[in-house]
Amino acid sequence: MLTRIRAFFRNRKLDRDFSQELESHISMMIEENIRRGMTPDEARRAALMRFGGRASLMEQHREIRGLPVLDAFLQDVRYAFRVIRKNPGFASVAILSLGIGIAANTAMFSLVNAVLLRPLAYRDPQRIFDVGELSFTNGTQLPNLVNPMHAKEWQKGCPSVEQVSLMRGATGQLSGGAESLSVPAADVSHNLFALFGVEPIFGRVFLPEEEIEGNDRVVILSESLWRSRFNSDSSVIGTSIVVDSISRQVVGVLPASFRMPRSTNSRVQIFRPLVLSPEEIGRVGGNFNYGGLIRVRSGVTMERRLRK
Amino acid sequence: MSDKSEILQGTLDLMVLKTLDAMGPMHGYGIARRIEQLSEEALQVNQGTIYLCLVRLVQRKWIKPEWGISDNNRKAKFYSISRAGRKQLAAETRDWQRVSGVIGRLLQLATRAE
Repeated sequence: MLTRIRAFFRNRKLDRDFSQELESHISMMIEENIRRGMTPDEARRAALMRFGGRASLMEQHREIRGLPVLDAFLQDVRYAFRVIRKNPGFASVAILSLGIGIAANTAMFSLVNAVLLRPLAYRDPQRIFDVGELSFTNGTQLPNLVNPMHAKEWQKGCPSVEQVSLMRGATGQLSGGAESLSVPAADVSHNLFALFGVEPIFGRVFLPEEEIEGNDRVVILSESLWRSRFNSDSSVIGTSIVVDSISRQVVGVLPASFRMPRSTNSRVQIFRPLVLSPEEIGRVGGNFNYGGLIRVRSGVTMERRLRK
Repeated sequence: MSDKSEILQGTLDLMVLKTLDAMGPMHGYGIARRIEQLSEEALQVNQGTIYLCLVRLVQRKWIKPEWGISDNNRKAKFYSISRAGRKQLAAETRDWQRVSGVIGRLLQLATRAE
């Protein structure tokens, strides 16, 4: 078998060798024929007649010595290329269809992969729920837009709710250092990390008092941002970075396994404490700009929680 | 034209091995001529078939190829029988003799019965 594989790669040389062998055989036949008295032309013709078809011989030789399956395959490939070159229109249609098919498949898989297949790196994920509110004016459900005042009420009033946390998506502009970078950001309640059960790899999470205006000049980084922009420097804790022209102190770095819900492609890179000014809380009609997350107490079923 | 007997692959193998064993290293043309001569021109092999047979024998390591110069100063591939080839030759010769012996006796019986 090994000789066959080797033979396949030295095809051309082996063909040449065999061809030469056949050539000398034929010339020897011709000489013999001439010795017997034939003219050179007759000699040659007689020799070739006795010899049989050389093309088929070469093919049979290759079959015996090499990998005929591979040979046949290569022949087909070469033929295909010739045909394609002659019909560029057909070829481009075929290639385009293939391309679209592959792209669509990849897109679908990426989506499924991100949404379904990646496990949630939260503690007890079945107890975490993303909540939305129903607007009574027109009965539509606004997905995950929650009035922070209501959220506070849930925390106080619903016994089946263990923790309530708010988040608001944003974009942060990091300046200073290498170059300016715009990253997805999130402003979150201090207990968001506890709700998810995620521990920072360095530093700490936000403290309750950091939700107050003035104390909130802190920021938590994601691991990917820490690696890319801060060179995996563990002494980044305590240093200050400028986000949206506000200097904030880095207090923690979150592990890469933690992903915010509903963020498939754009992963949140920086977290800031969610500061709710009194005006925002007091707005009549509600300010439905926040995503809400709750963790129910263990043992609480969906129905009980809903009733509450 | 004389009738061309059809030669089975195995038989050709045997004849090539015997030729090389008896005559020493030869090139393809020489082997073909020799077989023709010995069979008194009754076996006229398609000359190309010899080479396919030779390739198979080389694959089975019963003969070994080597480039050399022929009598009339041509570059040619010479084949020589290997030790494994000699063993194979001996085994096949025994088989043939056994078979021909059986058939021979069978034919004698038939004649006597008549």
